[in-house]
Amino acid sequence: MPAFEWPPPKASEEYVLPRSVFGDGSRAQVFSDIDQILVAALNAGGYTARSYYSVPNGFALATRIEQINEDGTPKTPPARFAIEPEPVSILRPMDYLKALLKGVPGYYRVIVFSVTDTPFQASGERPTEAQATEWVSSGVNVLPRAIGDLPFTRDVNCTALVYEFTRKPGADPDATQFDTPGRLDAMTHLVKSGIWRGFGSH
Amino acid sequence: MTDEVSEVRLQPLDSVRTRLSVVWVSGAFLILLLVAVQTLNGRYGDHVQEAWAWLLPNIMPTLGTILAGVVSTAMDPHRSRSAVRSYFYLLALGISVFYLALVLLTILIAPTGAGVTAKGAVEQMHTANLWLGPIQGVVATVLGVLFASKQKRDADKPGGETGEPAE
Repeated sequence: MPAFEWPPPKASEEYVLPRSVFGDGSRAQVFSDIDQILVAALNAGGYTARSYYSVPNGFALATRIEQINEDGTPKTPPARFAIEPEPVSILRPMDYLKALLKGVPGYYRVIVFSVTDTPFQASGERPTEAQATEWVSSGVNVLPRAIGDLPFTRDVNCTALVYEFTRKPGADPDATQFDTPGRLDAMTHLVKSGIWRGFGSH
Repeated sequence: MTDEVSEVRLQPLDSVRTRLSVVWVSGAFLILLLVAVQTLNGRYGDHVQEAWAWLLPNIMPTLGTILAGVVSTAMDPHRSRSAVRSYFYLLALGISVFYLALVLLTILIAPTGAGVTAKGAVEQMHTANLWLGPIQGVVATVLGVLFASKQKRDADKPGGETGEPAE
């Protein structure tokens, strides 16, 4: 399994998920249990493409880069997973006028879940959109059993790293800028993406 | 014979020129203002030069011809007694409005498709040149006849308009 850059690149926002997300602790869990909960939550949010990486004593799970609205909700497909901005309908006069006179900004997001017992501080490196786009295709498709069988001890934490990119109105589709700090906090991203709701449904 | 000639409907050349000038100056002003506002708002990002390099050659040559015609007659104290057949005036008016509408539409339609980005908008502008170029040629020919033709003067009859076609 390919290794994720470690320490991870600086994220726009990050959030350590409470352990209650993964159960009440009444039974012993392993990493594959955590993976199942993460996958179920991602499925609930419509994230069917994802990629696994190894990190020290754990794994990282990266989502596909997606285009989001200003409030953090995902664009409706097919614009959601397209890099090109969505054309504006003339039936939405205010949006159309904005697009005509000013152009359309683009907001993009990648979420990486890091599950490890190793505390970390993100590196100072600012990821590019091209790098973040590659994350969904450079890892492996399932969590290898060797890592899945590791115990989910009290030292293990799951951290959501949110990487947010913005393209200014009028800029070319590939001219995005990494946002740090993010426009929205990590919890807002998790809620608006539908992932947080997915955690509650496992 | 006399009856056939009298059935030809004519428009005074000065009046035709005035009406076409109004159409062109107001149309061009609207388009230039729109693109100027877009430019100041950053709509064209790094492609500002390309956007203006598309717009100006599509507007200014014909506008220049019209303004040159208007200016050349502005200091002429005599009214022209030349006249234009109505169908030719309507042809000139129709093709002018059609052409200006096409230029405006190229800009207005951009956000609804690939032109939502600055790069896409400029690419659409270049594509539009495929039909704007030939139509502009026709417009220039028609308006050239009206604005660059010699006028017959009627110095002795101020206000006289005898209905003679423009040369």
